[in-house]
Amino acid sequence: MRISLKCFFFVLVLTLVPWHAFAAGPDYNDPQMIRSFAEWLVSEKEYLRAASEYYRYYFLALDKDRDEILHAIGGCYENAGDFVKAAQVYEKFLLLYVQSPLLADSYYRLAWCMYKQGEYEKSTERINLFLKTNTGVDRPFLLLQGANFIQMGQWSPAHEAITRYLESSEPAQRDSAEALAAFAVSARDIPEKSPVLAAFLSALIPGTGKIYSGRWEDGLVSLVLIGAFGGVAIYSFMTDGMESVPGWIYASTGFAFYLGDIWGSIVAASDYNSHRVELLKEQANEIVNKTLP
Amino acid sequence: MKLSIKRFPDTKNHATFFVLLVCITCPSAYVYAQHNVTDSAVQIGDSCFGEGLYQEAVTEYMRFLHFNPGHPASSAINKSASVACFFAGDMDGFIKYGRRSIMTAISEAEKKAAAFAFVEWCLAGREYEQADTELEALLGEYDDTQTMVTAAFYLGVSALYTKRWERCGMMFAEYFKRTDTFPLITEGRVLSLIEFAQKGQYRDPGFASVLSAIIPGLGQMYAGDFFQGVNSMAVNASTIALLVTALVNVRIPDAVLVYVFAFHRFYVGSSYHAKRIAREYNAQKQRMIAAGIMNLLIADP
Amino acid sequence: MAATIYLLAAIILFADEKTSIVFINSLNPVTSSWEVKAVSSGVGTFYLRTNELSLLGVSLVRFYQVFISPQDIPSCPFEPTDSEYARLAINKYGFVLGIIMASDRYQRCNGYGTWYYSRSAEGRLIDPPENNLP
Repeated sequence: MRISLKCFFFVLVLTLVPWHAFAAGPDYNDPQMIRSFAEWLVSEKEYLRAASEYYRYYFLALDKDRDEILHAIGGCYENAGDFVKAAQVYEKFLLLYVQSPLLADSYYRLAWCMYKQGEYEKSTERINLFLKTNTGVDRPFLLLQGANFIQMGQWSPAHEAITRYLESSEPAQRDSAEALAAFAVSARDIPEKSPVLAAFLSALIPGTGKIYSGRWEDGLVSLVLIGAFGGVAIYSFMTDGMESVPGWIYASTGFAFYLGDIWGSIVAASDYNSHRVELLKEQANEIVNKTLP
Repeated sequence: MKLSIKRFPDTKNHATFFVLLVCITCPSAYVYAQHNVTDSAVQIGDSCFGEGLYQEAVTEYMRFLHFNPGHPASSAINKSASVACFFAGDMDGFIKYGRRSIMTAISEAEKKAAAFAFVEWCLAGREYEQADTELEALLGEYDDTQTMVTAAFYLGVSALYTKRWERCGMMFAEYFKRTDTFPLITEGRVLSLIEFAQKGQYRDPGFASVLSAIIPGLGQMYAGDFFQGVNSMAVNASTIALLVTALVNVRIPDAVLVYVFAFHRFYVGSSYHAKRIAREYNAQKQRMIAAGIMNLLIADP
Repeated sequence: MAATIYLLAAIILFADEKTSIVFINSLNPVTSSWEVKAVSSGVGTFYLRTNELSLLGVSLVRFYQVFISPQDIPSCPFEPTDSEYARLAINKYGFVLGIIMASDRYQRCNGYGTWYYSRSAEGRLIDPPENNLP
């Protein structure tokens, strides 16, 4: 088949032209498009991207739904794990949208973000501020308050807050509330170990100070070690007299271990005291993380 | 216009042939090219990418993809997003968009090209299992020679990185048999290096530990670390001297103490370290072989 | 001229395995250098105290770390190791307290009482000198 060169060039030009570019593309600056994109990003779990898209929509200065959008931005930062930014957004919400139906939820989320940051006093303050003027039955404010007090080490206020929560009409998380109340009660009764007594016991018989502080494995090892070195030092002095070089080596090593054991007993006793409380706080935190948000 | 081979290499026919080539290939080049999309979101994304703002670039590409579902350039834009995630260090995003670029490809040729591009980036980003999964899926789906040969090459490269020498040898042998991309001499050298690597052991760890049990330090010297061998000899000689002195003077408690706290741990440690050094020597040898093979493959002919 | 045109078309359309492997190697080079695990030296804390006794103590510990410890069985479950702990303790708290803390750590470095330490990512027990003050 004979085809002319002109025909070929014509076909060539046709294929090279980007026809689809002439079709109208979407208007990316349309607010509804921005909002739907943000919602899609949330469904894809891209929370930080969704937050910036929601901000874009927010700053288009439309009059409706601004409180919902700001609340959604806070939620995005929370889901992304950035509790500092989420708290800032919720604070802004509380300043701007006092009449919003999302106010109670925002107070709760703000208190929760502060709990996650470790700012327990601030979280308590916000909850007290809210409870002064509202009842907050649909959110476990009192339970979060109790959790805050436990982390701050204030056992009686914690117990009080959790009991009030349990007495309210239908507490949703009854089991976890009861567990936290039990922690608050047991925390008052933790026995303490005296570091001075531990040091004295270790000075008398090496290793017993550590056994008293609860670390019986280390205590036994210290006892055997110091006993062995001391015994061999005595044996050397008895066989060779006081000039015995190995004797002095064993004696000085044994003495260093003896001093180390006394130090270790003091540290073990004070660790015992702080460790019990830390363990309780960690366990309470685990329960709170599982049930509250 | 008739194509007549015997009129090559006449200039007029060269131009004609070039035009014909461009006509046939340009529509597909259009799709294979990075992307020829004139869209504001994509252009912003490309600018961000050029500036090194990879997360922002990914957001813009996602914006385009969300609002233009089924666009012919979806595969290319998904690929751009995956490359941006790659440079941002987000390997999960890289894999997600890479797989989507394969799924949204329109034609079979585009799908294969997207799959091989994804495999290349996976190998560049140390995602060897992902590359292997994708290549095995490709081999299962298509059975034309070109795909099989290219897939064999990439499987060989992946096996090279993960030091699976038998598989590497098999794949490269298959690839070299069917293509002549690499000169014969390179092929021969690569295959012989792979065979050498399959040996696996250049210093026997068991023998090294036995040597060290006989004379502490000798095993380390055999395994390649002379200084550690000398060090071990010195330390063990001192502890043995202390032990022998204690035994000769019939001081049993001393001897027990020296044995428990000094001699035993350094004697056992000597065998342990000889074995470890031999194993490290073998691993280093394998790394050197892998680097040698790679240098042969990337060298200019 | 023909060759360059065909080559250009080939590169644009059919990037071959050679260019591809050059690209892969540029981003993910195969290294052949020894993967040496350096003894943690913590150079930043080395000059914390420069009184003569502390320097003597730290020098003795370094001598042990370089010449004697590599021959020992690596059996310390703690992070930092005993010798590193001794070096840090002598640097921060002085010779006398450093020796006492190091001897306490040596006694604790048995395989038994591990339940009161937290674990690092590699499974070693975390126990820096700061955790062992009353």
